[in-house]
Formats: sequence, C-alpha cells, structure tokens
Amino acid sequence: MTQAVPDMTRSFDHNDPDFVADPYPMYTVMRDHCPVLRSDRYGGYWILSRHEDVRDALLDWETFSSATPGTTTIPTSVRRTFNEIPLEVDPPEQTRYRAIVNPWFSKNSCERLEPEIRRIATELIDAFAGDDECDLVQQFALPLVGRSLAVFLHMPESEAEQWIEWMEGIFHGRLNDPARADRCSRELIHYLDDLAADRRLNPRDDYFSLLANATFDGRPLTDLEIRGYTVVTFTAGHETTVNGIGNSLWYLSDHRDDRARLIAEPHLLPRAIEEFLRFMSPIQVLGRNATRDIELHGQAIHAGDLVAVSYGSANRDDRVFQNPDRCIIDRHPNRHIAFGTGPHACIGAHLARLEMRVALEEMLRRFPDHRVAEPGRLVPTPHGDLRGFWSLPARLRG
Amino acid sequence: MRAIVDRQRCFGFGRCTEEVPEVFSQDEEGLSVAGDAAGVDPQRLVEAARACPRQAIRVVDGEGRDIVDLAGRPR
Repeated sequence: MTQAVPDMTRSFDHNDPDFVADPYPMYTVMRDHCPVLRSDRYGGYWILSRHEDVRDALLDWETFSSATPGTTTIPTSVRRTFNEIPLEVDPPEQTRYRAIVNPWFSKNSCERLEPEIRRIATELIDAFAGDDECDLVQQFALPLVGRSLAVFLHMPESEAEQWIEWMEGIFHGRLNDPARADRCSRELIHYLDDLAADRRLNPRDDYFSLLANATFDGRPLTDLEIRGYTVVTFTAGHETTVNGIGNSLWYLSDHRDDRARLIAEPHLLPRAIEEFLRFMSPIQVLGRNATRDIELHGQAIHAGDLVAVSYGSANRDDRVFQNPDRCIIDRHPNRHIAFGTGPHACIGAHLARLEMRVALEEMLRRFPDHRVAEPGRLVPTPHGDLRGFWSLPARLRG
Repeated sequence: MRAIVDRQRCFGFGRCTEEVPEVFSQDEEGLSVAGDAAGVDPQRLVEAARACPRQAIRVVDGEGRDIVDLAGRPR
C-alpha cells in the first residue's frame, strides 16, 4: 500500500461532489490499494470496494448486520426508532418476516402487472409526444414508477402524485433540506399508519390489507411492524427504479449503435438491463453494522463500526468483470450485485426489472432517436449512495 | 455431480439459468428447477450456486454430499 493513499482516505466522503461526478477512478484506486478504506466522515465509517468482499459481507449477515434503524443510509436520512422490515431485521426472524410478503413480490405476481404498467407508460408518453422536448425523469420515469407502485400495491394511481412529493422531499432533502425531509417522512408515516389502521377494519384485496391481517409467529403484526414494512416499500421502491430508467435512457442517447441493436433485437433487452444496472448501479453504497471485531486485508474493524459496502465499485471490479468500464449490452453471464445478495437481496427486483423493461421498450418504440440535452442542463443525483438523475431533459426526435 | 434447488429459498432471480442454461430453467411459478447435469463442468454448477442471491442451490456429488457450502465455497 502506498503512503499517500491512506492519508487521502481519512477525509474520503462518498457524497463529495467531485467524487460523485465520476466515482470510478477513485473506486479503482480503492480496490487496488485500500480495499478496506477508513474515513473519518459521518462519525467514521469503513468502505468495502471489492466484489468478493462486498458479496461476502452481504452473505455474512451475522457479522455485517443491518438490524439497526437507519444503518443502511450513510449519513442516516431520518431519525427513526422502528425497524424497516424485512431490511432492518436479521435472520432467522427476517426469513419469517420476508415470507409474509414474498408471494406479493414474486416474479409471477409482478409479471402479471405488465399490461397495466405498459398502459401507464403509454399514457405518460402520449401526454408529451407532441412536444419537441421532455424531461425523461420528471415527466416519465418518476410518474411511471410512482403509478406502477400504486398498481403493484392495488392502490388508486391518483395517490402517486402525493407519494412522489414525499419521496422527493425525503431523498432530495437529505443533503440540502433536512427539515423538509423530516416533514415529508412524518407525513408519509402518518399516511401509511392510517391506511394500515383502516385495513384492519375494512380489509380488501391490497398490500396494506395483507399486512394488516397477517400473522407472525401466531400473532397479528403490530402497528409498528406494519409501518416497518410499508415505509421501506415506499422508500426503496421509488428513486432506485427511477434512476435505473433514467440512467439507461441517458446511456442509450449517447450510444447509438447499442440503441439500434436493441431496437433490431428486442430480445436482448433483459440482458442489457442487467448490464445497465451493473454499469450505472442505482444503489452505489449501503451501510451495515459490524457486530464483532474482525480483520480484513490487514485492517481491524471493531464491533459497532459502521461499514459501507459499495455496489457501484464491486460492479466495476476487474477481478470479476472483463472490461468493467465498458457497457456491453449482451454481457453474459453478468455477476453484478446491483440488487445485493444474501438474505437482504432486493425483494423488489422483479418489479424493478419489469418497470425498466416496459419503460425502455415503449420509449425506444416511440422515440428511437431521443437525444439527451447537453450536460450543463442535466441534474445528476448529488448523493454518492444513489446514482441517477433528478432531471434529464431530452429532445424526443434526434 | 448434480444441483438441487431449494424452492423455499428460490426467488426467481434467474442467475442460475443465465450461468448454466442447459441445467437450470424456470417453471410456471417463476422458480428455478435443476435438470440433468451429466457432462456439465462441475465448476459451472458451483458458479451458479455462488451467483444465487438467495443461496438456494446445492451442488452435491454422487453420494449426495455437498461439495460447496451455500455461499459457494469449497467444503
């Protein structure tokens, strides 16, 4: 290890604007020279950057636990005392918690929604199809994901507008307006609690009724447990997929050959989507809590330490991927971990993949030569833990 | 050498069908099933087990003994 690298790393901050603008050169340095990096920011945290280390940490939930409220976000976004479920509980309880909702998130349950999600995509596109330009995130990805979530939960699509406002407040406010993030979070929780309370009395065929009437170890779920489930469904299911769609459309605007190939060979799209998720991982960094003292690559991690795992770096690791910095749309096999792995592997992966596929199919079909605006007009996500665009203006016809 | 899919764990991510399509397929429930692995390089089965986000794949020898743990590491 060179001496200069650790000196630089004490002040490392994955939210630093220069790093966020292009994190990949630094990730390469980290993987090669300090795969267990110590930063003094945010009260001190470690970052694991190699694919193998990230994967092993995610599989070793006993050592790298997520069972503390707020652990997965660095710095933590909102002060909470309840655990998000099943994200912030560990096995063996986590397995039983997750079993309650697994069928709702299954591949088949999600794929049945394809016609509805396609209808939503078509309606959104129809609304701006006559214009020269549109914002592919604000006018397309964001409302598509919000309304698709409503369809998924069996809720009225008209609710999505309010949800999007809260989600933007929570995610966008984290760094630049914590008071707004806090207010939106409280309003969202109040709304979700009310829905769950109503469904205890008036069950119907929706996600809230499933939770309100589910049993865990032979007893009904508590109000706080239901809140734990619903909050994470809303927060984890929004900006991540919006970023997946936005990143893909941004890439395809600049890579005409790949776009032409996907239009000519649409069966390649599912594989291309996995590559977009690898190459531009919507979740770049997630946190865990060390539960015991361990040594990794010569560094002593202590019980109680905050440990970040970088999906963004792991997915560019040349120990696993050939030409990791090239987006190869038919890469196969693709061992990316954009959805994580282990007990907490993304439960919403099937819904996210479906939304991305329908979004890209409909956009490529209707606007085969969209062109994203010059970089100065784009608004990239300013956080280092999520990667995407808040605003992505584009000319619809070349 | 053969592979066994634990359907209680499988969530239909489809990583195994990508890794070894001649052995793994998805059924009408969207879950993976393992077919005949005769003649398939055992290392590829191990890679499929390693790739599984749910650790749902066991790779066993002729006597039914696991050759890797659920994280895909050699036993």
